[in-house]
Amino acid sequence: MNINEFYPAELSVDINTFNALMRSLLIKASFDGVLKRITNYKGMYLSEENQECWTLKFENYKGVFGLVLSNVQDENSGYLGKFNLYYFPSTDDKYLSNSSLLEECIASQDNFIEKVRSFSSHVELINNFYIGSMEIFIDEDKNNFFVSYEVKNRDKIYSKDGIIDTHNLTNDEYILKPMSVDKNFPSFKIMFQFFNFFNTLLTRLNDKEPDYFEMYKAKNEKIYYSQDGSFEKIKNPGGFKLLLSLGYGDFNFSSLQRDVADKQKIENTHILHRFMKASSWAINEVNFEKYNKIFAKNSLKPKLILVTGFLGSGKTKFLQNYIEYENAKNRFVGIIQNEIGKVGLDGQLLDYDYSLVEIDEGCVCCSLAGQLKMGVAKLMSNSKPDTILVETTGVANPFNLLSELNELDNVIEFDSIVSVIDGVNALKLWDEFAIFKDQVRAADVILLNKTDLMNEDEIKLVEKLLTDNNKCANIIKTINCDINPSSITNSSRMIKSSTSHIATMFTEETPSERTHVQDGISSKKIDIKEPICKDLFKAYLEAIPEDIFRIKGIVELKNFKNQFIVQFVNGHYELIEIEKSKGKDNFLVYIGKNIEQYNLMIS
Amino acid sequence: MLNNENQGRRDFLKGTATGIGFGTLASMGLFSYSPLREFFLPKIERKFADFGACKSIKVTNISETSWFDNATLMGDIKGAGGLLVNQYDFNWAPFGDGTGLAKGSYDRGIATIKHLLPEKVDEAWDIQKKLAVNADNAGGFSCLMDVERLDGSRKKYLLDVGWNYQWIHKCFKREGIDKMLASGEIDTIILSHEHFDHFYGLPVAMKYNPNVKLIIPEGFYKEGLQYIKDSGHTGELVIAKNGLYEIEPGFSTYVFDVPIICRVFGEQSIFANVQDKGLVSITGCCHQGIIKFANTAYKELKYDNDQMYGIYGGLHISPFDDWDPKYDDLVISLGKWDFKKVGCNHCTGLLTAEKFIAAGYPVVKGTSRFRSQSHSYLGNGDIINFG
Repeated sequence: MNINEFYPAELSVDINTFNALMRSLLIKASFDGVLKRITNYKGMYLSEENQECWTLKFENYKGVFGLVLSNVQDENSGYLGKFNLYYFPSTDDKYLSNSSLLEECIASQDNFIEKVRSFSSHVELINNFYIGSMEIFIDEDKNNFFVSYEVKNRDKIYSKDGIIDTHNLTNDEYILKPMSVDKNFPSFKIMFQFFNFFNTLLTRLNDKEPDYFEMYKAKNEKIYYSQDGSFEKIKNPGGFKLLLSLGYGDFNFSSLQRDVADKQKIENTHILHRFMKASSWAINEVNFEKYNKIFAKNSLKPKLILVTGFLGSGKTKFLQNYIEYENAKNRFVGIIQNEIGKVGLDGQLLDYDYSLVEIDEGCVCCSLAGQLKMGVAKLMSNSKPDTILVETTGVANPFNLLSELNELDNVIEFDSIVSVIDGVNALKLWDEFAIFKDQVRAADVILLNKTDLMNEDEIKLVEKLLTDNNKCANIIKTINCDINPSSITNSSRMIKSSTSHIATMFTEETPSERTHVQDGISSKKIDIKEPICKDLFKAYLEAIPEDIFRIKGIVELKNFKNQFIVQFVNGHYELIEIEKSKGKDNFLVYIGKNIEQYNLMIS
Repeated sequence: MLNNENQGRRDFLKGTATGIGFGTLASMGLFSYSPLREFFLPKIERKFADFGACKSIKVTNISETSWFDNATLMGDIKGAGGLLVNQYDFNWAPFGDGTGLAKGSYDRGIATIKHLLPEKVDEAWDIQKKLAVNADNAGGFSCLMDVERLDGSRKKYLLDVGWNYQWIHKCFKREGIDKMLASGEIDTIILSHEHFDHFYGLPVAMKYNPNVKLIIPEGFYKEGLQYIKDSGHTGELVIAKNGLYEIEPGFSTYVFDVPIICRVFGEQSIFANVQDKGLVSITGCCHQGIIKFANTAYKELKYDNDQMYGIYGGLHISPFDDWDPKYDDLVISLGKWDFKKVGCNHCTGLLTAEKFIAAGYPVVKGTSRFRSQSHSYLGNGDIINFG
């Protein structure tokens, strides 16, 4: 294994080197989108408060994994570093009750998770929650990498004398009865998640499966502790310790095996051995090509998030924020957009046109005839986005899109429906437009936006309206839709029932649901040939009839050098000067009810 | 069996979670067995390395527009296979060989232009425009640092040399860098990291002064080291090891051993100690993350008033995704160190820069000229003074 590829700096036998090495490996993991998806990686944090330590999270475990360097050693022919692994259960973690009473008590404290982030600085965390250890060896020439793990299948601790309830905390004489189990933690099962992640990382960095893999079994003990603080280790015939080691390179790896008394090799025909090898880090030697193709960087489907929201809710801001957060993490976002009416408006209003595909013909929700599919195909042909955001029109009914999204299943992974709600106008819109109701009901995530313009009572009222009508969605209050994308991805897995999941249960095709047409909403575009007088324009906007609730466009004002973006929502408007005029055409798009009735000329 | 038992007896923990300290339970005889009892390392002391002080430092942004269209760049990266692909293989200029995206190599690419370097950089780029992928999307990052010493004398340094030969050549001429190099007024170039947009433009600088001292961070790969030679560099090459490298009183670089996307390793950031003001940092991209870099400065260095005074450059929060999204916020993180002057651009993100401003941070705004996107960035041609 060419270690210089991921750590070209000098190695030496000290804490800094091994911390830097581990840091490099974990950062490399952060760059690998495929690895993250395969291993359900959720994120990590590096704390340098005192001794450097790392915490990681995975989708399928509620708790936090911890990793910290505990020792470095100069081996004859290379460098050896030893790390300790921890698991800190969350308060709703199913493994919490398997922890010891003391651990459970610590985990129930208010600031537990915050302390966990820098766990190496807290004695009570370092001395508990331990699940196993990992040793890393690198040879002098930096060509061979060896990693070995030691973990108990179950960590069992018993209280010999029991704990008497002297403080009357329970209805019993004892909190823990004598000779009863205090801790029964499935260490191996939990550690397996990390094992898989770390080894898959190594295999992918090596571009080849490990050259060496051995498993050993050794005796395990049960611990009995007494009131006076002493403890005894008693043989646990039912339990065992597992020693797993992997080697990348051509080194004599068996010489590096840990010296553990009475260890027995687990043969590669054993079911446990075969189970271990059926993982993502151990590509089947025979079928290397097949696995390689599955892991090939381009074949993971992008996630698709449907973004819906009434006109003026703040959808565009949501997109901008989302794109910027993702770009900072080197992830690519593709956008499919449309607006009703034939103008590809938002493409000009967004500062970022990241692989933007505009569907101009009519409305995404209504003319289902493959519009969305075409949009996705076009997007995927230009680039390979990690996430695709489909921004539907402000008057789209997301329920209408579900079956088409289902058909795209082989190309994309449908993640969730996000509805952006204008908190200020929510109650009014709910009464006026049935489409608005559908947007709320269809949502997996509701962003209750513009909370900076609302007071406590107003917010409570709107929240009640939302929860009354959608008990599954995750409701997040936002200002300017400023929200970290990781708060909403994988939403569909985390809420009770995602819309798409419910939809798959009801395969009957119900013909067209409500569309905006039934609500009497339509749009009109007017080109503006001449610059307008500013005062006149403002008076004009202030006199716009209530039926017309949305106006968007670009205008030139007399005596001003730059053009202005016009944003009008329900009687409120903003004129935003465009810093860099790209010589755009001037126009206004009006969206509302009964538009034909009104004379919209600006005189 | 076990869980039911536990469920019942542990309910009391839920009710009294905040009331019960584990001290109480410990006093009742609860035991914590751990073979690691001795494992608790002492608090790490601040080192206060004194690297001197200078009077002031002026930074001129030569170019912060590393590329002009993000969608194109990201599309190239994704098309080539993602963030782990070796940057020299992309078939980006100036190492294009005509075979298309992701099929390139340093050796084949350099062979097409080597004979022209460094005298005929513009001509070399013209050739590359035909062979490479999306050559016109390339821009580059570079800035000029003008250090005023305590005795009043001044010294100039160049940080990074951009990417697109023709673009950076134009920028150099605009700011007078070409003359400063030729006259020897700039005799030292610091390269923050091996990334294409900070490093590939090296021949342009070599054209005017091949004899400059070049300081690079430990971690350059063999292609990069070869390119330094092929660019026509004849001067001293310093490979700064991890940690502090002092250049002159009050002006140092700090090398961070961090892996970076596109198979790059190591980034150095400038730390300057401005007398009576505090620490100023100038970064290329800050791939190590501002959390790491600020923590490192705090732990390792001594600076006036123990104050983080200023920061200039591209800002990344950290190389990871935090598992708790509320901490994964550059705006909040930056606020923790109470900088007095902030000039951000490049990979910081326009919206993030606007959020800094909205949050009331002391952001020095730019003039949005020469293809820089917005006033929130300290853009091309803009200047920031520290001290």
